Amino acid sequence: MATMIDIFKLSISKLLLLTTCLFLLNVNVFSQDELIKQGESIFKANCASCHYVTNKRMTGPGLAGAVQRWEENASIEKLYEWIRNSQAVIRSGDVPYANKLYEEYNKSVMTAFALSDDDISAVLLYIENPPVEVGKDPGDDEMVETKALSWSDPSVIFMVVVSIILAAIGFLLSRLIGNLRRMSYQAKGLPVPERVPIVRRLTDKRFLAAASILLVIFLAVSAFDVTTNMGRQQNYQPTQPIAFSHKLHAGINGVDCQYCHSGARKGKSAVIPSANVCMNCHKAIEEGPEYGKTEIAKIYEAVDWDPETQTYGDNPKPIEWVRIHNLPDHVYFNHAQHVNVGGVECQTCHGPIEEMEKVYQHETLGMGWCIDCHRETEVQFAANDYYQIYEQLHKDLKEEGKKVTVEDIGGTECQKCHY
Amino acid sequence: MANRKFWQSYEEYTNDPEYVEKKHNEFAEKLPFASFELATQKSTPRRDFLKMLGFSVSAAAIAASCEQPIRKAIPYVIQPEEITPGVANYYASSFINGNDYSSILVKTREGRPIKIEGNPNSSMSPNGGTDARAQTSVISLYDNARLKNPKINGEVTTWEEIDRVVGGDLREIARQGKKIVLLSSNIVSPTTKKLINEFGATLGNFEHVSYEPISYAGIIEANKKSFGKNIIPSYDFSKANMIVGFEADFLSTWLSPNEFLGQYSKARKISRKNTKMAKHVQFESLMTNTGSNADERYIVKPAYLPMAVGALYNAIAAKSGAASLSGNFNIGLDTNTINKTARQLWNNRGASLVVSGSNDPNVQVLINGINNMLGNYGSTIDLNKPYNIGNSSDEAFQRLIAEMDRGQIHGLLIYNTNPAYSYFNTARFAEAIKKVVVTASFNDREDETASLVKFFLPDNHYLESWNDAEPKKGTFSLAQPCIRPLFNTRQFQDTLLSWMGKDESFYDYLKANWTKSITGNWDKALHDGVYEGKVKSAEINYADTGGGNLAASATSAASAIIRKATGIGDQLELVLYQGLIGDGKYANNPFLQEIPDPVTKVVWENCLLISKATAEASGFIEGDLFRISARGNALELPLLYQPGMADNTLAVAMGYGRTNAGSDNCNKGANVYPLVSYNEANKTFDYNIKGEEFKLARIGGTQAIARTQMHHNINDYLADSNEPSQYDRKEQLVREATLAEYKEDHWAGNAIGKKFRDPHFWDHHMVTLYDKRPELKEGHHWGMAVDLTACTGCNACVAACNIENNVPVVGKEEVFRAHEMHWLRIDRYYIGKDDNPSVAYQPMMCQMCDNAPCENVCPVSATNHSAEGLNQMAYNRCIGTRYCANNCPFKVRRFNWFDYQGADSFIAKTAFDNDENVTLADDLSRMVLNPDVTVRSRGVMEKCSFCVQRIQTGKLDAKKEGRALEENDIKTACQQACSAGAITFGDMNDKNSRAFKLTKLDERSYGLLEELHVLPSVKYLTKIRNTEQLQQDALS
Repeated sequence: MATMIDIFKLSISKLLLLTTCLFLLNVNVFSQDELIKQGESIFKANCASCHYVTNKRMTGPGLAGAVQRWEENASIEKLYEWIRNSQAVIRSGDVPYANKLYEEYNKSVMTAFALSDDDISAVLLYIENPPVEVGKDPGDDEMVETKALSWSDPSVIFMVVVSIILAAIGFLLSRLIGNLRRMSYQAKGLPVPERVPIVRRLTDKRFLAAASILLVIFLAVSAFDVTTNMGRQQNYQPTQPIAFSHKLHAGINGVDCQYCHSGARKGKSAVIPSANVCMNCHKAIEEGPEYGKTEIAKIYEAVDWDPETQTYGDNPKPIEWVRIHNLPDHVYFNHAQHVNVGGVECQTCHGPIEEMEKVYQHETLGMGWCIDCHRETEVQFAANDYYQIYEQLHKDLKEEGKKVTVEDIGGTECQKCHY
Repeated sequence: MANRKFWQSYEEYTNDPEYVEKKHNEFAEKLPFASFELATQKSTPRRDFLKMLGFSVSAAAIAASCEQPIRKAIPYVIQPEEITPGVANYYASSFINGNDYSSILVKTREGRPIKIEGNPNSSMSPNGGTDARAQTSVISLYDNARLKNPKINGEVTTWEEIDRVVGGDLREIARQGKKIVLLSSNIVSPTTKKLINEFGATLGNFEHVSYEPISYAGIIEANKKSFGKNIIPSYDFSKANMIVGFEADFLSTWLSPNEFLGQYSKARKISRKNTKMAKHVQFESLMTNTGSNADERYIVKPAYLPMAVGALYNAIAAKSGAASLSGNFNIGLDTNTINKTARQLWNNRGASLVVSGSNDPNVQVLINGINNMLGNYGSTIDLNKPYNIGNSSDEAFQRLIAEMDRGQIHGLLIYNTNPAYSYFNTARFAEAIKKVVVTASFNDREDETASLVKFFLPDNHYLESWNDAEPKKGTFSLAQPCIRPLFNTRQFQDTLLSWMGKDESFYDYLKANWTKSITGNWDKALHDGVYEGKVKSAEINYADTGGGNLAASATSAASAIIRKATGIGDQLELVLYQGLIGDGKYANNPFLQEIPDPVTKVVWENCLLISKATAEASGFIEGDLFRISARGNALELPLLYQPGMADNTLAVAMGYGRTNAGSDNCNKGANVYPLVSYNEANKTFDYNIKGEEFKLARIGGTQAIARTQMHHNINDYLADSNEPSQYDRKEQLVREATLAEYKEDHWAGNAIGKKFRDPHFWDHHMVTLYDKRPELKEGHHWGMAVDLTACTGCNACVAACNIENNVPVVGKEEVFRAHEMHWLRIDRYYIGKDDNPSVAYQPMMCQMCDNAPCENVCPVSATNHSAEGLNQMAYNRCIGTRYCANNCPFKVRRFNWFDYQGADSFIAKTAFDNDENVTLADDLSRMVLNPDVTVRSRGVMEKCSFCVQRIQTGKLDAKKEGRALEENDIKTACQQACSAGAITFGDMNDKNSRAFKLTKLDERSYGLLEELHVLPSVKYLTKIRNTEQLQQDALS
């Protein structure tokens, strides 16, 4: 045993030493990485809509080797000038290469960027050290397909097996008790009671009465459960025509929800974005980490975009998404009221959408669920002059130490949602 | 006061025992179970019940266990910048159809027009209101009967083929120098007129004839004679202190009714501060909607109406010193009445207006003379701003028929007019059109005329078209398409341009014409919808024929009038009038068909109106079928008693009895156009038929008439007692006072209201069963004030309510069963004796009682009260016991007996469907539904919601902007549609709002059935009449 511990100790101290050394060595590398990262974020914010970091052309040229080309054809200083104000460089006529580029790309004017020298160096550094293609992260696949219980669910099987075992034990125990009692009677010399067959026990009137009462209760409860959930689709997770990942867009890339769902602030519908909104980014991003080009190609098909020639055709076809969150026709729901006025987070009703690879309905969307929230949510009095008319109510409740909830100003009345 | 009689129908007038019993019944009708009694008498109904229960439970279980359907959400590929799904857009446009014009705002949702509002920028729609025709015009966009493709000889073809064949044929006719005629409805569009002229010029021998079955040619002919001007002058009722009408229904149908209604209301709307009210006197033979609103109404037989005009002329001439007309006009008239009216007119000279609805130029010449003597030209009448409305020529149409008959016309293009239905001699037209080589119709459907032509070139609906209008000189407006053409149709003007070989679209043509001739600021004009400023170059010239002479023309007109009226005596006369349905072109609009006539309250058909006295003298009974024959035509109509009709006079509405309107359900009533005649001397159509010109015969048999007035009656009796209650309820429903009384005491007519306004009164004199409800002091308390003085009963609010709230059309058979669904009805009350009663209109919507009797009786609490004072109705909670409707004292609740609009998942045309099948449950008709309002399913109760969807939208808009709610943020549909400005809606807790001032402070304000302590939130303002004495006729 002692030797084992020694080896363990030794390895720990060695490991510590090794990591310290590595850490010290790495400082330099780390700051370079930092710069590249900074460059990447500037690039994505300003350049990515017209340039790739590869050789591929878009609105502007692919930037792989751009620094070298400028060094050869002009100078790095001119490149800085060019980035800050390309038109000035062209007008000056100092750099024939610049004018050539301008002609080559159909005289599309590059936007002038007010970037500092450091920023530009960072971008150039990033261009020279483009990100390496990363393989698939296998962990992404482990999304829950459905959250409803099913017979194939391991927990269900476990429960069934356990109940069978328990039932068997119970049966054995009762037999055991019966036999022991019989034996004790025999030992005491008392008359041994006749063994009652199980069939007769089950057809006993008292047993039947109790069982049927239990059955009725069970049926009633489940009927109530079924009817209240009728038409509700909690955990509904249909397959969409495009394997769009909210985890990637909203979670990893941190795209604001309302960038795409722009209706949420304005009106009743949050709006599924039209395909041209996708193209704001996907004109540049042709490949995704998960499915490569296949899924993004579906957007191109919808808007009839040819990534090779970078042109739109005239045969667009709308994308037919499957609607997940459905409310019955007699329910009026308005996103603007909740998102814009109430300041409710998207996740409050839609769940951890930024973690969903494939979206599912997180809540029941039932009336009880709505009402619960309306009873607890506080009205945003201070921020909105509209609520001045409830001033007195506000004051009164404040004195009592209570908060004014949506319910207090009529938020649970029928005709707030049904008309 | 107690002896004033208020009544709504003859059953009530005569206290018909059957009616009285029906009134006391719990439900208006028995449940429609044929075997109901049989089922309850069976020995084992319990088993049947269990069977039914088991069946329905298992059926429901099967239906419910089915998988949820997969619902798609399909976004735009490229979302238009101005569209946010779920948020409505409004576009300024113009409703133009022949003589009907309104400047409008079109509400679109996700690109489909769903509602029409008035354009408040336009001087043609004062108060921003619209009429019922403009409101329902959006329905005609989604009309299944519209032609979906161009056709040649009934075969579907393409527009290229049409251009090749028809364009080629027309060029060939033009090459031969033969004549081509464009026969159209009246056109108010200056650009279209210009285009037609240019089109004609390319053909050479071309004529454009405007034809309208309901003509105003008499006014044009008269102005030619009096002033040498070929025009209809514009009228301004708002400047008048004294208005006299001779059978002119200017508030409902005559010339520019929506504009006149706004002006009229402006001249008559009184308040605490402004007690100046124009007086309105009407002389007429039938009871028109306008006449029913007059302060004083005098009944004159149709033949003697021109004599009354002559008598008035002489009475005023005597005052002004002008030459009198020779001859005796005082036949069948009360001289005192004429003299009194003349005196009142003379006292208001320069600020009075006399109008006549007659199409007889002789009458109109005398009217011109009267207005001239009164100095009204330049104040209430403007000859320099003539109307383009009503500018059709009866003479030109007569000449056209003759030329067609002689084979002189080789090409006939028919645009938006239907002479095969509306011309009096249909057979002659049908014969004549056979002699024309090339016949084409631009009409939107295969109507009566279209079936006589070879080419169908369906025009776009006006909501799919570019257009402009100049209804009155200098008043311009634009129309823009609010939806892509639903079918393969093409705008008439584009077809003309294409035949002219031009590449440009009518949009380019229109824009070029506007920027060149009208205004340089096209974008602003398009945004505003109207342009009423200085015009760049007036291209439109009005014919000035010269040679007019007021005095001379009056003299000759007078002798013609006397000649015509001589010897009429007491003989039976027939008058044709225009109803809501117009000249017949709206026949296939079920919404308009089901809106009751303002006076008769008849829906879906026309009847033969007669005074009860005349009918009884001849032994006729209401409902009897009669045949009218004249000039070889015969038609059959049921008889209907109409109070306030002249004796020995019959009246029928035009526009019914179509044969090819579209749906068979809309081809109801009888076509009375064959009774019209053409007067050669006057060059006008004549809508009055003398007794010797027609025969009336009872053909045996009766016909039930669908009338809505007695269907939903306010309880005016005490349930367990036949004794009159402490307050005569009917009299208290409509409170009235004269202007003089009001000036003296603002509480005039509303003494009981004053008593109830006193907070101590309740505590000391009344007992209430209701708990003391905490007053709704916090937040909003919605309320409405309806000014009975301003309301004329025009029905625009009813139409607006129906379309805003997805109120279904039920059909004539259902109306018989009192199943009409209108959330807002207008109760029409007669006051006094039936020979000439005065009339009051009272819009009845849900009164939003704060102690609502309906709420207490609902077993499932589907109807309950909100903190904002709304009486809420939750459809999905309702189980249809109908207790609430029964307990509602105002009878404003409606029950869905059938699935009228396809709300249920059960398929149409099953036992669950409306048996009459006039439902608008198909996909095209459902496009007009308001997506913010639930489509109610079968078996639930519904009622007015105070347009809660508008309240919520208004509140949300204020919240989004973080500001307090303002008064104009929320307008109910009825309020917005009202051209008279009679309805005021708002927050009664907002001390600065008009709604608060009118409902809580105004002395005229009162609630209905206040003694029941139901605390209605709708208040009515006492009707003030500018007359010496209210109608006082006794009960006896």
